[in-house]
Amino acid sequence: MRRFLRAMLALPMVGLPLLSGCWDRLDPENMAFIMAVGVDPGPSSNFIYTFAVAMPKSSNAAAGGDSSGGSQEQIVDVFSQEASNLTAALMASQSYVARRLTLIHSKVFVLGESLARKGVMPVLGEVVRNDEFRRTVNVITTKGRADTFIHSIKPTMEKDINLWFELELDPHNIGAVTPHHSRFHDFIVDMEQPGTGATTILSAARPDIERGKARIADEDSDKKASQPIEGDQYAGTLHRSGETPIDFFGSAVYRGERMVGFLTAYETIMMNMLRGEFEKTTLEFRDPSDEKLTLSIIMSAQKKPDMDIKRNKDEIEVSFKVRMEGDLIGSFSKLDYTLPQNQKKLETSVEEQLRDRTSKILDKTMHQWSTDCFHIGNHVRATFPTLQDWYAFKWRDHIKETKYRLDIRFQMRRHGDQVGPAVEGDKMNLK
Amino acid sequence: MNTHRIGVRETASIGIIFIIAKIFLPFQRSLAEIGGTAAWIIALIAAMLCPLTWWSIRGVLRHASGGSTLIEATEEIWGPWLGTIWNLVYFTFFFTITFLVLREFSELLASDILPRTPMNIIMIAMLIPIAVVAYAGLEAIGRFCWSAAGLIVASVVIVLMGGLMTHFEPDALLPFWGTGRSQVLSLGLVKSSLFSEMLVFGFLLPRLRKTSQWPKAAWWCMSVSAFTIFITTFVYLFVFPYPTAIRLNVPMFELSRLVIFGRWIQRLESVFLISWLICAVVKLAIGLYCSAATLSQMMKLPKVQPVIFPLALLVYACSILPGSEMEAVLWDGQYLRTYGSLVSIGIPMLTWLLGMIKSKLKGQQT
Repeated sequence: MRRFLRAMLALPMVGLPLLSGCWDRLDPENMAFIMAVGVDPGPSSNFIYTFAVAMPKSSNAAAGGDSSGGSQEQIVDVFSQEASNLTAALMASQSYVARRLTLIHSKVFVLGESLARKGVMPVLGEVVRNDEFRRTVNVITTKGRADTFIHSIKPTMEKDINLWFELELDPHNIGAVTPHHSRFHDFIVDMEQPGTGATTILSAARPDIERGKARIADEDSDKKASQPIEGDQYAGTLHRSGETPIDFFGSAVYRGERMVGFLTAYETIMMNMLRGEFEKTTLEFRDPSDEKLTLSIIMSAQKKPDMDIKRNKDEIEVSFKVRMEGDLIGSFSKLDYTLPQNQKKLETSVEEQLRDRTSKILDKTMHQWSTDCFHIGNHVRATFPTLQDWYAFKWRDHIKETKYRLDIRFQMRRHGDQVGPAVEGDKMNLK
Repeated sequence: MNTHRIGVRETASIGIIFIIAKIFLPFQRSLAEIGGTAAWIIALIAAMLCPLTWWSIRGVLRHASGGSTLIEATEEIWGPWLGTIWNLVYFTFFFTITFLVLREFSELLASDILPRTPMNIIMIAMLIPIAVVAYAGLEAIGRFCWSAAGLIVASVVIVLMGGLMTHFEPDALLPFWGTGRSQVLSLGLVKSSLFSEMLVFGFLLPRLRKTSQWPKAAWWCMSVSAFTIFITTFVYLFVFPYPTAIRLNVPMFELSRLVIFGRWIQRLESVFLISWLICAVVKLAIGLYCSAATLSQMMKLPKVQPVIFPLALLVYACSILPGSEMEAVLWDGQYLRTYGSLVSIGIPMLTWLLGMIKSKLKGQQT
């Protein structure tokens, strides 16, 4: 009898904690997983939120999707809602979306260009409070409107929207042409620091590609023109046709809460290099033997760059010491860069070009835009004894006057699978 | 009274879990709010002061008759009236810890894990296992703590390492003096109350077989808990640098949500949540047991168990007193973690002093 009584007592004790599942049960069958959220300014001081929801497999088939992988398969369901904040937008959207909308698996937060130029803090301040929203979500600034970007999410090769985002947003996977970190956490941490310039992935929808109207120019009659460097472009200007109508190329730079401009892919790589976040990638350089030609080097950092700060009252001087190395992988030159004297010539030229490019991006961001994308402020802050002194200094006001020194060295390590250039047989000259 | 013995490992584990469970609450944020980039210095000073509690408890127990707990020793030294008043303060301290931590943990669950579950259901769901564990007694708690302590500390270390590998802000601890040298140093003294839970040793030490085991248990407990409290604050500032550090609701939980190693290793918080909930339940059980033990010893009851369930009901009732999560956190920060060291260091120190004077006077008389 006593045992029975104990068991009866134990039953609610064991059962009660399980009851919590009744309220917070998550049934994937009833849920709509939002993969991307886009924000544009609304008509009445509010916003237009555009959602890309992963298409459930069963609904996909019902919608006429081809399970064998046909091109018409719809992998996201897109809709927009005007609202004053994200939570209100979700609440209103829930009235016409049968499944329960959730942000727990969202991958990207897309900021439209006009919103980014106006200021994004009201949007971020609201979103960061949301318990479903994770700080690991990637932030993208898109040229044009965010809803156009979301409507252009139409991968042609990849049918798994989650995998597509994971691959496209991984800088290692896409050639390091975007900021090394563009997560919401990094973005808002940078924005909350005085003077620090937050950066995001720069993206652009390509309706011309979607409509099949993108044209690559035919052969140019001007034979004297220099070969362009692909990295010197922004998202939206890549000369291409076919595949997904979205470019991820370069970065958007913010001063405080407002976007001030874009960086090309090459400038973004240089920024990553100075930040100590360089990801092994292929870089194009002008060929020292013929400035019209380009050559490609697989570049990697020998070690993290050293950043040294000297502060004399209000005067700040920052020195970057960068050590790079690379493998020559593509060259049109007839010069054999494996020979010591030519190798030296190439190394010196690469160093000069790297110095020139980093100098330009430092001038552009610090002296032109007054924003610190290189976290120099973190090091300057270390020269103050207290936070009160640091905030009174007003780092933003001193960014423009900050001087910099660059010490960049490059070493060629390897030369691909061929020693010396390929030469047409008739032009072979044996001495 | 139940006088089952416990070992050094169990004693140290109870102390560790009772002290470190607060790392899953917003304590790192509170330190960042008052110390800025120097929050870690406050944690360091608090850790350096925690032996004071241990020395005073040892002093009190040494000046009372053998086998007495802190409660019995306080009454023996101060006499029945004053002793009861001080013991009432101890009871209030343990009881406040229990109901405030219950509320704070329930709020954490309600805001981030179980947003649709009613608050009272979460609290009752936690309170029942807490009462059952406390009812099982100190010996059972000790064994349970010993088996859980490793798991909890390991989960914390993994999350900290994961957080650092995901985001690392250089020079995050500078400016060195944060909000100002004098403020940081003085608040370091005040925040020694972070280790006020060391008072539990007043119940644990008499349960050890030999007095020679006391220092071993106490120093193990102090080292591990000081390291854990310090390192969580230290790493938190690198992953969530100031001023972001002062804006997060539950720092350790946010840290675990941030960990991401590629496609396959992410969203780890649910894994760690299990060990953290175990930690919360054990801490609350220890708090409830200490409250019940203090009360039963004040009332000269032969057993602790009859007081457990009525007290558990009282804990539930008091935990809904704070009007909101912010109020509960405010009570914790402004009262418990500001004046806590008066209870954990001040009263035992005074009692020890009086015990010494009384012993000397007794020696002179004889």
